[in-house]
Amino acid sequence: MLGAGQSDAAEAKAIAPLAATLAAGPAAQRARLPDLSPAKWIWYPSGRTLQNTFILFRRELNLSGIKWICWPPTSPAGSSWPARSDFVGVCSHYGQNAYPLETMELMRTSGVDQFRDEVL
Amino acid sequence: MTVPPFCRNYLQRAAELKLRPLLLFDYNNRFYDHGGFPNSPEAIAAFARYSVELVRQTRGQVSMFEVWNEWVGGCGMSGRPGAHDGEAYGRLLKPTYAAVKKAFPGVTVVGIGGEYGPKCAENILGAIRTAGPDAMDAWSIHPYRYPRSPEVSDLVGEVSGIAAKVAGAGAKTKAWITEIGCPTHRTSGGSDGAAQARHCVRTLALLQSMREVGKVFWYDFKDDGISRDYNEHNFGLIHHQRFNCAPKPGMVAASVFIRLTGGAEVKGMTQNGSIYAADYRRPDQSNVVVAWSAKGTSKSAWTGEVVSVFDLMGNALAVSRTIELTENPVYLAGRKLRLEEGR
Repeated sequence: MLGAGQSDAAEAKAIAPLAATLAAGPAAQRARLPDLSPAKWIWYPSGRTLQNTFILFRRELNLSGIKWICWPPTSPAGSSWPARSDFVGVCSHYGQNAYPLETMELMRTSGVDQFRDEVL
Repeated sequence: MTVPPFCRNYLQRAAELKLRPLLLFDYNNRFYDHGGFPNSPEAIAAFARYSVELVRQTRGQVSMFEVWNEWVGGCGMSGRPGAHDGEAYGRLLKPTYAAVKKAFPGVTVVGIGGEYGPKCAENILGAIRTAGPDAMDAWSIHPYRYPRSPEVSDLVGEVSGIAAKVAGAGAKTKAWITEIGCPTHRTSGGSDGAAQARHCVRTLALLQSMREVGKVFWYDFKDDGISRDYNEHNFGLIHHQRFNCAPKPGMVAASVFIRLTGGAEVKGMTQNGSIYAADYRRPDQSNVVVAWSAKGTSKSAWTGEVVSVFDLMGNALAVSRTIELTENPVYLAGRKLRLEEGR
């Protein structure tokens, strides 16, 4: 379940019955258990496990190495028209220092070239 | 006043990318009227000077300005003293507009500051009573209606009604919708991403087909926080930077709308039962139609030459003169396209 040493004391106590059961199993069974660290329990098991029990894990991934995940499509086939509109704009909060400046390029890429903001 | 460095940076970057900002003149000044709404002649004169100075300091980068934001609603002014009804706004707007236009005649000054709510028209008329009908180059409203669709909530009827009253008061300028949006929070009043996308495009097409509306600024570009239960954190067309600003379906839909209708002139809106069709004419006289069914699924038949068909996300669909319309708008590109009557 959890990687060795990954749980805190309270968690270790909570999963003690299950851990003991696992520890008593064959060595080969323990070896097959996946290492899901640093995942942590978000639901503590009870003393018994019903047949239809689902056990959910959550693992947070650090995507800091990726600048932006993906971006709007290029012009649809057959569209040779400028990617801008004098009618459509968006509201933003650059003036509250709440928007990364890089998002401005994304705005432009999407075809939006007007934005409503402020200077505080 | 001095524009802070980080604001200079974003305005500079906007200029480099040829983006056009609409900046607010906002808000109170702690040196006047006890930090409340500028009501006194001294506070109003100071606000007008500040507005002129902001235009001066951003000259060459900004040419559109809006006087205050949601004055009657009191946005950002919670608990602060002073009158903030329509008449009080008009007393601020008139000298501000005059001072800015005298110093910089070429800039656009938007009045009213995004009025909204059941007394929207009444408040605007109050402002016009004290400012006069000519103290703004456009007037702005914020007709939010989420999670209701623009058709069910009669967006066009509401905006038309307000515009008629404003015109009746002597104003000859257009409405700018400086905020409207559809948040994707998961609690009451929220919509899923697909609904945000379809409502965005339908809202834009409906408003653009009105002669009374000059621009729409969708609220807003990016999620302002990461709480999935709080509407204010979920208005964005793209996710928060914690989620790498990934686009929601609404961003792609808005981008496709811009790419397919940008540079084209809207010729009108046809409504046939639940079917809506906004007709755009390109400079080469070809046209693009944005069509959808506001309720259920409806078959539509088209005359003219259908050259291409795209879905809400910009995917190419099979070319046909018979299109099954759903609540998700589609785009028909071609020549002399017209919705057949009675279908």
